[in-house]
Amino acid sequence: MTAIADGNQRVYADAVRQHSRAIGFYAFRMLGNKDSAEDIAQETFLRLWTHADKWQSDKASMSTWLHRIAHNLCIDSMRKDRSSQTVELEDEIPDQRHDIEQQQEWDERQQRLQSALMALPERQRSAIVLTHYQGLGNQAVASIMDLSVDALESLLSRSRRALRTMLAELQDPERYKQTLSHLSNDKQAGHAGPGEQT
Amino acid sequence: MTISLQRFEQLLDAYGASPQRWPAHERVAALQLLEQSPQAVQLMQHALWLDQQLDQLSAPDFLQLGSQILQQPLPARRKSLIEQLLAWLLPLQQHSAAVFWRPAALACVPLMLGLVLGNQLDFYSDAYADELYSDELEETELDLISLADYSEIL
Repeated sequence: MTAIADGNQRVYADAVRQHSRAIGFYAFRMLGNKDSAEDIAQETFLRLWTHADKWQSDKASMSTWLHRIAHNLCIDSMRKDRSSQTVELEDEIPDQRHDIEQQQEWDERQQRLQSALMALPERQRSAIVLTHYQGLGNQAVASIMDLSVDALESLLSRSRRALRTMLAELQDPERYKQTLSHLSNDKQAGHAGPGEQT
Repeated sequence: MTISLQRFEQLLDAYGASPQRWPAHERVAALQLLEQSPQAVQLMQHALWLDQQLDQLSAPDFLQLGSQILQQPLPARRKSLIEQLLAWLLPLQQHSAAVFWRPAALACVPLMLGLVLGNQLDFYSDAYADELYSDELEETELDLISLADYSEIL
């Protein structure tokens, strides 16, 4: 990181190759949109280049630090543009099934899973994405989100509980739509979400 | 170290069914409890269901993202004055003569500054002495006048 702070582009390129996909995945899970995720990843690495001297190696690994930047950028982006919650999965997920019927079913399932994730309040979503999908440890996630480990566990529990409710209702589309609509109304009314404490 | 069934449930609620995601200091105790308690197994299966659901969610591969990022032009780095001075003072080329003459030149700066200032500021110039002398004369004259006044009254 000192080398990046000194303007070493080769070391910067190595860092980009090593971490860019993880940051892209994180931003995609947070925003549900590939283009926005790429923008966030680009901005994250731009900040790595311009603010490398601010990184403190004794406090966080490079991965944790980059996730922290990406987390803040995602939260800012979501607050600026609520339309980022639009789910765009059709062109982005590689075809894994050839049978049309199976493909449709798979797409629908993906859409619902993504919608359930996007229906979570921002911080709950970030907590679950960082721990479940990004595979970061609880200390790292707590540091990224500026939380104590206890508060993180509480946030994760609420997040998983909400997801369980929504995903269980995947079998019952009508009930699922009602839950999504209820969550959406809660958000618009400025509520923190199911069980979320601010 | 051992953990209670309640704590085990909290771990599953927060981190899910994969032991890799559990806090490292509680992992061994939680796995031991899992071996011993049928209730723990039941809780584990319950948590596993949600993990399996979440694992089905796919994402783009982002294989080209790294090269896209590297293609964007990087802004020029703005160095502080101290960084610029240090970079000039200690150039990266180890075999350059600048490694020697630049620190020496910097060390000479205070010396040169002292010489210049010493020559410019003449504390005992004639003008200053004249000024001092005229002040003294003035005071003496005033004293004499005042003495004369007293003598007249007396």
